[in-house]
Amino acid sequence: MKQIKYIGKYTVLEGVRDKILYVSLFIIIALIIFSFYLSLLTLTSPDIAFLSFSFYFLKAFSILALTFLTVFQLYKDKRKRAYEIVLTKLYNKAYYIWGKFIGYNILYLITVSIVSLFIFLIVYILWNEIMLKIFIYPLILSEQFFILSAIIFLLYLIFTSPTLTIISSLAIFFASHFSLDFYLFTVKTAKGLSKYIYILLYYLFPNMELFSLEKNIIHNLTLTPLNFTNLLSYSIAYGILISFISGLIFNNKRDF
Amino acid sequence: MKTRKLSTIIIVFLLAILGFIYIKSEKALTNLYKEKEVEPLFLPISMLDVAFLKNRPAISEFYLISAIMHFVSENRDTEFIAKELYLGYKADPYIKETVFFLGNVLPIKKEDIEIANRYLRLAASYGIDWHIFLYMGYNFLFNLKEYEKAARFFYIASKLPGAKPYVQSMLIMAYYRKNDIRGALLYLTALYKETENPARKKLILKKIEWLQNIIELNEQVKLFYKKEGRYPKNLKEMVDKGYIQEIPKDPFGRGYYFDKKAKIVKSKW
Repeated sequence: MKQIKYIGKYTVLEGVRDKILYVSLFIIIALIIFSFYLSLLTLTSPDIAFLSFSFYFLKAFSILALTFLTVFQLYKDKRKRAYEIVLTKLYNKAYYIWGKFIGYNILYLITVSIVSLFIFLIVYILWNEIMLKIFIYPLILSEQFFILSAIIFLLYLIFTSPTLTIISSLAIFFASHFSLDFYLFTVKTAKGLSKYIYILLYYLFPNMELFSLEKNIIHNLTLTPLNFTNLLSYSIAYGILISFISGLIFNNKRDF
Repeated sequence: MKTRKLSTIIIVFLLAILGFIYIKSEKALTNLYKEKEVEPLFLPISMLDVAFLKNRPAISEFYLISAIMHFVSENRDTEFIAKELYLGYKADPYIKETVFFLGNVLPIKKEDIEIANRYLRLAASYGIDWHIFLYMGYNFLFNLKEYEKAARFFYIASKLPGAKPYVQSMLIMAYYRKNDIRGALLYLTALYKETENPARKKLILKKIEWLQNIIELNEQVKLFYKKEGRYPKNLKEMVDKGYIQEIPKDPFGRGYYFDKKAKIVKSKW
């Protein structure tokens, strides 16, 4: 446990030292300022338009940036001399994967929380509204990244090139926003064995549509603590399950 | 040294030629686009769902901004803008600007009003919102002058949850314009029974009194016509001839008058 904690802490510090955090923050904040200018084009409620666009930019860019940065950082670490030393000192090789997994998730949570604070301040300064609900969004986003990062780590162990890892993990992330639509469609149309294969596929892929709660946050719709706990348990269960499998693969792989 | 100078000159020369070709081709392309009528690109919700990662409020805002951009452009296509606004509402029914734009800003010509109302009806099937029926009522009342339809839409709007009290006033206005004052009175009486708020009750009573005065005055005008064989010049003549004791006091303070063209008593309100 201590070793996982140490690797996680080192990953966060490395992210800060390598300017990953600052670069992502700078670009996301620039996009949020752009979304403010976009919101001026609407009619009566620029605050809602601003929140809609800034949430979109925050999600899209942070997911893209952190997927790229995580994968490149993992491959960069693999080339370092210290990599093998760290692995030999660990009780279990899988600790490396779990430590990195936790570290990147913490780094992501820090990034989106800082950006959310920035969005909150803009809304407060420009429209004099105290929207504490904005701070729910980084939590929902980090739940999504928990699932995505688990997939990234699994694919990192399957593929040998960073490009393939990035493309496939992003493809899974984008496609999983439509897995519920796919499920509803196939359940209605498919028959026999194919129906059960589709259902199995639905449960294999994560359902990211569950996390599309921007509407609830922006329009102050019901977002009960029960919903939130369900989401949290869903993401934690899926993320831990996948990262556990990744850990097992990593432990038994000889070329790593 | 000489060869380096020569190569530099050649590179500069080549760059100048490339720059010249770039500017020329850019101008030719711009002229080509000027002549060509650019068709507006229509994006369905499913495509935007992929691009916006199912962030429906952002999709709705995107449609709204796109519609505003097309609205201010020279080659305005009302059907296209109405479709975009309708899709914006479909994407997120909580963003009311889409239907506001569709119902209030877009209709300029008579054809536009028909298009707007067609899409407003479609929008109503995606989220029953009193605003949609209010805007349809507005279009029928003020632009198309179809008071019966306007009254019907205002009535639906007034019955939907969250409807503001001014919708009821709009309904009375539609009845009034339709010259169906008794209909308005019946509605107000029913409303008075339903309402519990004392301040609202007081206001409704005021409106009932206002309408009752109009009905009574109109009945006296009919009697005047029966006996005299002509319509009165004004309400004062009716007082002079003893049909009414005095001109009733308007509870809203604007007063009543006899409309010679319509041959009925109206309010200045």
